[in-house]
Amino acid sequence: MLRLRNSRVQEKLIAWSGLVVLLIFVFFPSFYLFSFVIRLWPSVYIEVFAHPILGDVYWKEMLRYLSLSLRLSLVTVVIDLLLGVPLAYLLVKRRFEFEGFLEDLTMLPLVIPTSGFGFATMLAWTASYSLPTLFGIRIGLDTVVPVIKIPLLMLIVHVALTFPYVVKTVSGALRDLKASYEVISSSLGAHPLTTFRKVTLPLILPSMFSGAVLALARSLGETGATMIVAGVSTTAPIAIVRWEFENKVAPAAFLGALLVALSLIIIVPTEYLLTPGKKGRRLLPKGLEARLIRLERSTPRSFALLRDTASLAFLMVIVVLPMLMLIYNSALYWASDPYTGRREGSILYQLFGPPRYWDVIMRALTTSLITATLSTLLSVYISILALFLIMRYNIGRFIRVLLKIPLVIPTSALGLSMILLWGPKGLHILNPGLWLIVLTHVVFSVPVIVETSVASYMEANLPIYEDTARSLGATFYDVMETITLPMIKRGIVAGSLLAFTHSLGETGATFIVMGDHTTIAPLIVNMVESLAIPSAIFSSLILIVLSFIMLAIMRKIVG
Amino acid sequence: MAYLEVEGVSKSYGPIKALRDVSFSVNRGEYLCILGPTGAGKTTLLKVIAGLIKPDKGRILIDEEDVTFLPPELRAAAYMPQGYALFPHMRVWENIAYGTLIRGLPLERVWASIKMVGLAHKAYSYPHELSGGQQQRVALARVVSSGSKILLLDEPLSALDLLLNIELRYELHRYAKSMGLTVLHVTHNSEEALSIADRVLILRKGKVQQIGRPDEVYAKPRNLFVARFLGEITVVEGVVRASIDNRSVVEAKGLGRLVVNGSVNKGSHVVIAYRPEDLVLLSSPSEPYNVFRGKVIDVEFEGLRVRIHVMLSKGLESVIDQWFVHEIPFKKGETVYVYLPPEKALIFEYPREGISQALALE
Ligand SMILES: Nc1ncnc2c1ncn2[C@@H]1O[C@H](COP(=O)(O)OP(=O)(O)O)[C@@H](O)[C@H]1O
Ligand SMILES: [Mg+2]
Repeated sequence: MLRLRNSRVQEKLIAWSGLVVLLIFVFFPSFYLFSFVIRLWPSVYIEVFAHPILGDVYWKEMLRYLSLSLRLSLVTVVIDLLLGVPLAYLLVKRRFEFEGFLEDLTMLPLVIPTSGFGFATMLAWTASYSLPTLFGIRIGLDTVVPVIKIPLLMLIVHVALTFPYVVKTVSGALRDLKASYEVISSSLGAHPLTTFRKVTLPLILPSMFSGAVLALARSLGETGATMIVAGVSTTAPIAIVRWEFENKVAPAAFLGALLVALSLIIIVPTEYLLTPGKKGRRLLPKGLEARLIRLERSTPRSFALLRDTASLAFLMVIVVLPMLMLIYNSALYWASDPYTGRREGSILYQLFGPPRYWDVIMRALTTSLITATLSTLLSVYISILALFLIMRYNIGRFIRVLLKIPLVIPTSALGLSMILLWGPKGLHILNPGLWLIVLTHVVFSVPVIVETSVASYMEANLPIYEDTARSLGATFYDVMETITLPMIKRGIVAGSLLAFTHSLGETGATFIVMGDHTTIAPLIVNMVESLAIPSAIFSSLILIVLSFIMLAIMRKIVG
Repeated sequence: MAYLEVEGVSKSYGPIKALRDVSFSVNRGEYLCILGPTGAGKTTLLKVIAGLIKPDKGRILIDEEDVTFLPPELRAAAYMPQGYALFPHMRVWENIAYGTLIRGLPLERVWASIKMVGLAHKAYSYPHELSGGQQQRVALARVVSSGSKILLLDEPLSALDLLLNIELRYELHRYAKSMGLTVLHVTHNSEEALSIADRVLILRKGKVQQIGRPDEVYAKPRNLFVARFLGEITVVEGVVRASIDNRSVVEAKGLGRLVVNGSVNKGSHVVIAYRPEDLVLLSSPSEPYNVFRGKVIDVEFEGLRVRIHVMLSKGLESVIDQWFVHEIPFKKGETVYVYLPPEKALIFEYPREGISQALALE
């Protein structure tokens, strides 16, 4: 009888503790800004809308920043789709050497430290010997795309950082797509373009949509790289960082809450909309359809070649070029400043000379590695508890949807939320520093690990093994230890590596919560702002090499 | 005394009634097949017995002990889904030893059962390296060494192709018998169930339709659904005109007068069913009654047997099976006479819900 009680108690205990830790470490921080704003509404209202001196200046500014953020993310998504879908097609449909490498390159921006990548992009486009200058064009931080009034460099960085979401979801859908559909279509005489439009496109539309949503949310909250290329423009996430540093908590919190709400409005409905259902597709008018098909027929088959070349060129320019420029620049700056020839402007001097940036970089790198390790370990533990809750109980579905939210919360809003919740102004449990960084990173690491674990749980069809094990005499806890965890180990490891890499490169939230414990990604922002370009080059290079290594490990483990 | 008893078990998932007042008992060492269409509640029933699902009502008794509220690990009933769910990350011997180790039983059992299924040479292989038959034997050995006496198999052979299915179901039956296991084997394949079961239980919409020996349920199905699920039938509806001496005369729709065995109240609305192998084809009307003229509309040659489709009257088509001996006896377009032997007729009360509803799988 005792054993019986134990088994039931174990199960309940694990489920409850799963719920509690999720609430404390993931959901509460994610939603805290709302409660903060609501609780302090009178003073927030006065500061934002009815300041005795400034009036509603903050509100007007907010609208301006939000407008730029929205315009930026919408245009970004459109470009992502235009460029990402052909690239996904290339990755899935063509067989060629270096395929894996090409795929790694595509995924690189997802794991890359954003500040390092932003800096590399800036070098690639604005340095005095960059690609545009070869064509006699000068691009600066202040170059604005006409009509839509978006800073060009910002747009480039956002596209680079978000197009992988589209590629990832679309290529996933293309892989799942039975090749036979397309074969049948072409054997019935359809031109490849017609096949794409009539067969493939309708089937991958949902995945394009979900990729686009992720990209939109990500672009809306991007902070690290944007800070580097922002120049004089301000997006909403950057404003939050700035206001937080100027100690203007009320407007920062209000804008943060607005951003979180915006992300929720984007992500939650789509989670439900995307559940597969029947969709009636309206056919084009007959005449137009016929004309389209004729047009497609007359397109030469070499169009595919053109498409693939363009995709590759895009990848080269937007991902590879910045990396190469980084390497090239570290060579340029190695021993002396290439323009003035002064030794003081060299990487070597800044690292090992009197500025002793080497020590600073190493300290930041150590802090980064420690925080990434701690937050990943903690997240693994929380994720395992959460997994049982998700798989065994009815509220699991709901929790899974909720766990998408931390992934799209603007990072600077998250950082602000963490400080207000745990910091001196809130519960007063943690001061900015190492542990607050760890807790902040846990918020977005748990969803990553849970997602990969759940995927591998589903894929391995675990419930049937668990049921079998139970009926062979295993208690709930035995099953967890001998069946569930060993069978989803790969998923957990893959998720952990991803979370670790994210943590290593996270900039926006860390910037706000780190106090004096500077990690490497925010350090780059600081270096750029204090114009220590050679050190920034060197640190970015280290970070990018590190994430390449992580990517290689991931590929090795996950296969 | 019955070894396993299921008493008045009901289970609903929200509005769906998966099991309705299910009762039956199984003897020690018996091989019971639970047969029913998809959605009948077969899986739910097995899981309730295994303890993986709690019933809303009713009791489960194993060896006279009420186990209704025991968790799965404390019942001696092992649940195996399709493909047997061998643990992919464990070697054969680890799989077989799983229940033994977890329950703290003596390890000799493990080797004894590995030897029993003749897999000593595969002890260090992983499940995916084994053939389907070997995997099945590992599953059986795993159950025996875990100390479980009851084996609950949920569609174990459904993913296999026909030939392998036939081979493995025979082996499954033989090993289970030699190990002394009490088996509940769920399937939606009636041929599989009839060929290996000691008794068959037919489940439909969560309700037990009939339970009995395979030959018994086949020859004397209790209702139209059971008759249809165990094999093909031709169905004719009619009204009883007269009934004398255990013989009844039915005015059958599309056929006219039909004599059948069995006494039924005069005037009652009935359904008559025939199996394809029970009908006799004649080239001339040589029987005194129950002979109907028809036209061959199709002939299917299947090797062992020949299936002849005959149109008896407008809208009434019948299939007649004959053994194949040297040549196909009838040709398409030929006129033939079909004899319906009175003793072969299955006669049922006309179902309240209508014939198509009574036959529907869901
Ligand atoms: N977890 C569940 N939640 C809701 N309905 C269920 C669940 N499991 C089974 N059902 C429903 O209960 C009925 C019986 O299911 P099941 O026992 O799986 O039948 P079978 O194994 O005979 O196909 C079906 O209608 C099925 O849809
Ligand atoms: Mg089932």
